Amino acid sequence: MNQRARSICVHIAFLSLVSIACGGAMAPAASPAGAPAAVTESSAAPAAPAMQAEDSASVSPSGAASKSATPQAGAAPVDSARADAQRALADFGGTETAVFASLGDCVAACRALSSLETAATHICQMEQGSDECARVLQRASAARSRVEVACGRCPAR
Amino acid sequence: MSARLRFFAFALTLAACSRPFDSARSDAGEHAIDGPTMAFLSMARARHHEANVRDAQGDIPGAIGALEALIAAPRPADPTVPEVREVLADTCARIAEFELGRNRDTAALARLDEGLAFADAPTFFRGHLLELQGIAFEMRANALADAGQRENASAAREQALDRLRQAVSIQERIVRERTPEAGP
Repeated sequence: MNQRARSICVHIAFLSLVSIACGGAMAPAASPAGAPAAVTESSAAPAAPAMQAEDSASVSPSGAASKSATPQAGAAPVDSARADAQRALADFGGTETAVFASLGDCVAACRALSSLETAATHICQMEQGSDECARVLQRASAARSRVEVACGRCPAR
Repeated sequence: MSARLRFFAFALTLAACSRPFDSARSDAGEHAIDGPTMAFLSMARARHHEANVRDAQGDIPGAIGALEALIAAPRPADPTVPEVREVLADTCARIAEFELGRNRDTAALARLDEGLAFADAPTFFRGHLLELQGIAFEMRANALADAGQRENASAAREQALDRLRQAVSIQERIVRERTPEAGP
């Protein structure tokens, strides 16, 4: 998988995790049953039992420690969950922007590449066998390599 | 869905989310999109879709007519809105493509000149218009050569090469800018 595609997959995976974390963290704020227990639902418990034992509320989706780790806090876990949710939403916004930017860059790179290759083809039709044709084909090939490294294959025009 | 419709849909979706376009989404730079601009972009999408439908039916004059209606339509009050200029430049490019398909290089070149007036910065749109200008001049050069007008054919050929070289340079630069992680 190329670098850009990997980056997009990581962003999407991160967005999913943040969404899950948001849902879990927001619930206790409205829940009368007790925030601390509800907050622990926000982590992926089956996959990480050791982390659950540590109190998952102490770690925000962005990895920052929160004050709710102190067991004697009363309303603090609720506030902490809200703060975590706010941080998660901020992260979500930033990551969403990054994903859109990545996709937008690849769309732009692909259509520029297509235009470049068409222009190169026509130069070579008029300058068959010339040095200029060879040079422009080399430039087109280098551009294609760049786009494939960053974005993978471009869709057909 | 064609690439153009995807472009318009992408632009409209982003605009509808009330977020400013950034350089990754548009070649235009960062600024807010107002209501009249949104309406114009929506109309542009509809007109390009109409052109697609007519093109699919083999109705090239109808397709050109749909796009010309967009060029002639009222525009947002601010004539400097980049998205509007990009859409108009792209629409001129598309009309020119249809004209080239009908071997009408003079009509194509007129539309391309008009389009270049909307795309003065070195964006994809300018590069694409120059690419099409090169093709139109190449077509003209071939027709002149077939008619035995060697000098005129040679001049048209040089114009074609000049525009195609400019197109290569602009698009090559855009590819580099949009793929910075692929190296220098």
